[in-house]
Amino acid sequence: MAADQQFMADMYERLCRCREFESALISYATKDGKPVGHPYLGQEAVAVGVCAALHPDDRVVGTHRAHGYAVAKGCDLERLALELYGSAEGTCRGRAGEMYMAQTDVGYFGGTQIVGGNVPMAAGLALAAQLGQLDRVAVSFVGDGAVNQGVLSEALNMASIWSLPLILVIDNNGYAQTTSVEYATAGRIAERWAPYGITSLSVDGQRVTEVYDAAKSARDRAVRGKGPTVIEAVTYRYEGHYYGDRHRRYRSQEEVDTWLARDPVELHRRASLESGLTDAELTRIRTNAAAASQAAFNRARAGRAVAQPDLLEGVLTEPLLSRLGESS
Amino acid sequence: MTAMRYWQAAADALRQEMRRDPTIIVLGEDVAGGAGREAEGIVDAWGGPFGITRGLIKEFGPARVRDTPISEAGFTGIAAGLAADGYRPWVDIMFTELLPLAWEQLTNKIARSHYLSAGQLRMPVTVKTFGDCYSPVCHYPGLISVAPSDPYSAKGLMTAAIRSDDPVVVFDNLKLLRHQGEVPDEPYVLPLGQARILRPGSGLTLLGIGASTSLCLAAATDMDAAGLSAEVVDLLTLSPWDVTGVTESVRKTGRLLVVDYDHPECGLAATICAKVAESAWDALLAPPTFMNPPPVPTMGMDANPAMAAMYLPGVEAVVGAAAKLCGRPAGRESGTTTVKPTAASTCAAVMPRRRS
Repeated sequence: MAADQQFMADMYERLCRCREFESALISYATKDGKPVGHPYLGQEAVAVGVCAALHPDDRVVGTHRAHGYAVAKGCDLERLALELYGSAEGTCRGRAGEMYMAQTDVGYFGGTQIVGGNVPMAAGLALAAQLGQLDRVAVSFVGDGAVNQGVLSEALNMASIWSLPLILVIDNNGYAQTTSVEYATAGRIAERWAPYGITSLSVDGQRVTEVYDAAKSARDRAVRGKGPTVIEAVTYRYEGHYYGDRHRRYRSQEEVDTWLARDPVELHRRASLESGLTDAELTRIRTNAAAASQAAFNRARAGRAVAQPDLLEGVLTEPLLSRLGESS
Repeated sequence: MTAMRYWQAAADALRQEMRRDPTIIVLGEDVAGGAGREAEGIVDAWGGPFGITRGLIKEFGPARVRDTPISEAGFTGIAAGLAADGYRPWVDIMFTELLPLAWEQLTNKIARSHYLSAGQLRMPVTVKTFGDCYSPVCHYPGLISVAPSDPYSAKGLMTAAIRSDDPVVVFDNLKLLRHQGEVPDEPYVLPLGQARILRPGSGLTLLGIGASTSLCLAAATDMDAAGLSAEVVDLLTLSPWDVTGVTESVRKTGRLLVVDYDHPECGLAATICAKVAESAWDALLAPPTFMNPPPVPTMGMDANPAMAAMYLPGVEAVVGAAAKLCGRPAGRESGTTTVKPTAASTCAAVMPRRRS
């Protein structure tokens, strides 16, 4: 297989992992009465394109819509599924769930429930890389809603004045909860950062290779000391803000259909066929990804539940609490 | 031992720890001062509020002593990221009035990360601030809070805070800045989570929190003249506070008066009284009581000294409340102090009835 075909196959495999993990979560969790949370369906090319351009040691923080980022950064599927099922065998012993789950040994430092709330932490991870003179960057994913949070501007300003190796990736899926980006956001998102002296660009978030190229140049600039980059990836959220948000009265069927016709997994499948990969090869990749995710959730169903002693352990690293309550 | 002022003792701790540990990074507004004017020969133009960080940039350089823009939430979150990757950030939030700006980062990221990540992330962050509004921070699990009361504890607790693998918020106090005391030259640690007895006594426990500890000591001296023996306990760590140590003192004296400069409602003093009512119940001779300023939203920085004098409890009020708890008439038969009711009222947190 030629190098470009290998690359296309690798991207397809990564896209399928994200898509199939989310699909398996929805199918198993609805069956088992577990929460689905905030699905990433439709946006996969953003997380995949960026994470594929990163080194394993690069740091990533996500958002509340966290499944896609965690899978794309290479978190263990079984341990993620266990975490989402509230098991003590999950990445965070069942404590974090969707929004805070993290697996630091693959560079995924977790999401947050606060829109925009992780950007400063990513700037701090970038500062750590700079202080250590490491070939390492930090990436903060946010949604379009986050561009209107003050703390994002604070962090980007510091990232610019200190030339931090930070990449801010804005998953512009058109909606912050139910509020459209056109209503809530003045001007154009990608143009907001020039006054900060920050390089920014807008890419087609449905084309994984376009996202990959943007992230790769941003990473190169960052490690050469050229400072942060903002990438707006224009994409679409298939599901509601959360899985139970079934009505989605805030958008038309016509709009949804237009975006479904540009599905990132399908677009990349076609591009892969054009590169010479066969339908059989691509089908095998997709089938394997589906099987891996199904196996992960079957394992999650059998995970050890959290027990009472787990609840109190590790609030602090040292048990200062040992002196508390001895007399009670 | 060297005689030094409170702020010098705190500065001494930070400097010694920075020499010992290259991962300590100082972040805050004007911690050096005059940043960006190095070409004109301007370095270390200010040194933070009251000079606690003065001189550090000359010794440790601008990478480790970092003037930030005015972005409390932003640089507190940056500290979380540094901590997550092995550094020990020391963050200057000038005054407690500014803490709400950083509250989201302090609670959702710094306080929670160790627990929620099941130990994958550590948050050895020291947040240093000035002020009395500590109860909201104590409310939040995952954060340690300390309030030194003199130069000795300022150095020992600052060292402990910096060395702790957990986030510690250090509440310094403008009232204490110029207090002088003997401080050991070498680094030392006061253990987190432990109160200390500053003055033994038998009839009443006066519990001080940070700056109010001096008030308790002054009141105890005054009470001696009236034949009341007060034990002064200095809380030091506000959260998690030393239930065992405070309980032991109250079980000995039978009475507790907490003197707290923070707002009264849902506060640390009320929590302490409620817990002690339970832990020392059978030894109590009077209801555990707390004394705070009245619940008015005054400005902690004392915009008007005359109002500040009316607002804060004074020695007279503490002595009066103590005398009442000990069954003495509020007007006291002897001694030199006249006790009169003040705006700083005392409130009984709980009213345990004597068991028959």
